Amino acid sequence: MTQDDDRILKALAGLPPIAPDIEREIRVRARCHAVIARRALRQALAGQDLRGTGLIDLAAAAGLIFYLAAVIAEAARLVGLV
Amino acid sequence: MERELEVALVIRLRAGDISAFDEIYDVFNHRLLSFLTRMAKNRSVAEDLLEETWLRLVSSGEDLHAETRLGPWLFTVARNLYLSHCRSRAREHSYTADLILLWPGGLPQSPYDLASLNELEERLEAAIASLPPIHREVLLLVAVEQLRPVEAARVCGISPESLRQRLSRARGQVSRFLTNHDPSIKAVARR
Repeated sequence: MTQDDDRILKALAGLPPIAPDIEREIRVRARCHAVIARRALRQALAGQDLRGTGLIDLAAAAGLIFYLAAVIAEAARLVGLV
Repeated sequence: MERELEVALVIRLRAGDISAFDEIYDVFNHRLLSFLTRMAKNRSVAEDLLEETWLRLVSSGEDLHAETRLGPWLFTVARNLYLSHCRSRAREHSYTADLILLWPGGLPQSPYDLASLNELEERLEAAIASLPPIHREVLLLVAVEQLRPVEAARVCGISPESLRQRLSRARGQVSRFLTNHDPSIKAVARR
């Protein structure tokens, strides 16, 4: 790289950024906030669904175990083991 | 942006933290607008593409990996949106692919922008605008937006070696443009 190239690169790095239109900036920001909020709400609702599903599964498993235990106890009683 | 801060911001954004988005927006919005305006050479188009870039970020926020580099990610999306815009405009107007390289339009500047530009900046902007898009984008990403060459290569979808060649050509073209249009500009740049 020549010295001139180096100076050009420095000058390019010093170019000022182009300022956005304030009103548009506010509008875009608000639109993005709304998308994030919707996404967060969806995530929260999905989380609740999952938690609800987990509790139901747990209760069903407990019921099944209780039922099987009762069946085994009754069978043992019928064959005279108990 | 420091790496640790960047990782934390991505994690917060994934969790739906609006203030994390605001921090990212504050860091990159001007830079993305500058890049898109200089690529598209049309402020209105650049602002539309910028809005779409931000919407892509928030829409895909939950899919971002924690180690995502925000700068390269955002510039890649912005660049791809610009390319899509060029393709759709080309189809709309039945232009050939070659005509995209000669995309018309002056530099989008408000009276305020014009007043704030000094002569060197004005000539540099003109030099950038005169470059073919493939050279303009590498120069903007590396020299103006200060992306690391390896990141800029990833944004453009080319190898680091190709990027180095394009950058070298772009520098040469800018240098020739400045010399041809006003030899005294180099003297200004030397100050």
